Amino acid sequence: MALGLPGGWNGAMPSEQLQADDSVLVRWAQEGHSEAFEHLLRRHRVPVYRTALRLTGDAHVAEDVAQDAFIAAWQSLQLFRADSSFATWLYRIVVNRARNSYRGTRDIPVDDVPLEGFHPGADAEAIAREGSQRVMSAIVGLPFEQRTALVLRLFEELTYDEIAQIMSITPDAVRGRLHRARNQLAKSLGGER
Amino acid sequence: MTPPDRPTTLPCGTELDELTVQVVERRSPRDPEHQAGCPFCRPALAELRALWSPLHALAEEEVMAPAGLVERVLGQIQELDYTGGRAIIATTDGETAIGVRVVAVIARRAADSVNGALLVMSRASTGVEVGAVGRSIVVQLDLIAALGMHLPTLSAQIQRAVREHVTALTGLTVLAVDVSVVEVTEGIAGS
Repeated sequence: MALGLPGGWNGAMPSEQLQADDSVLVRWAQEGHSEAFEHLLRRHRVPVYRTALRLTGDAHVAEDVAQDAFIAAWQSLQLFRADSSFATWLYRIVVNRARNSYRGTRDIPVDDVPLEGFHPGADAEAIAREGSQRVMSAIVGLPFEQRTALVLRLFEELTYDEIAQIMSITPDAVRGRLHRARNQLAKSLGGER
Repeated sequence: MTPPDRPTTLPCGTELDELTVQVVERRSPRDPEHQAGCPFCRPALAELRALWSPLHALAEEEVMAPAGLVERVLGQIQELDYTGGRAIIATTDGETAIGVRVVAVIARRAADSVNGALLVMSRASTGVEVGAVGRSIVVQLDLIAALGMHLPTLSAQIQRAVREHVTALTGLTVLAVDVSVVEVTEGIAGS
């Protein structure tokens, strides 16, 4: 006879909405508690995956990027010093992993050179509506650094200071990249209207 | 022939870039009264809103994380972290080895089920570390408890649940269940 656990436990984790803030969970995770990291993972999985998806334009690549980012975060958790928020630190890892996904698989320059001719993968096309797909193609066509600033600002709604921290640049440089991203995107979108 | 550059400033003096940032980032206008009545700003804003609306629609699309992402990450983390600590049950038919991580999971699940235990972190170690051998185990739990619970009672309930279920499911001897309440909080939101 199988022995059950008490209280009708059904295999679900406690709510991911637990009101322990990230810093408490990070501290526990740094002491080796993978359960604490699991809560962080569940809490941040959507923004991490969404950022990866908007940066890569490809659902499969985004899933790999998100997975790699979380594992890298776990492996380097001891290096996290709370001089930024855990979320900011995690965004930085995702951005780096997304950048590396281009370097590793496509041999495409990622900075200051548009990714001409690159289009989102088949899965993204299947799930995206036509208008969204057109925008996504235009975003993926931006140079990686401009795209990162745009995605973090418009999709993640981060402040200029937060984006500056993530990208290791100044807030003024963030403004510059957003300005260039808007100009190029306006050409791409306007040209197809 | 190269087309002439578009003007960067409207005849009313408003910078086009300012309007673009306002529309793209959906900010409030700096001068709403002027914009509402200006014959140059109004059409410019209408054109910009039409241009950028697909981007806003994309931003509002709900994105779900792929099914199984969390489990795959946790699986890889467990592989990375496996240390090989285990308790041994020896019988005449041979030995059964049970990893301390397995015991820790059972202990955590048992403790989670006790009313008032909001989040439990568990560690287990073989009895060797406390002078016993083979099939003995020590369980250590860190706990976030619901605010308002009588903590000694809660701790006793957890110790009993963990001891019963680790013993029942593994056959190991639980030498001790040490509970440390590290935080209390209002409860669980949004569930």
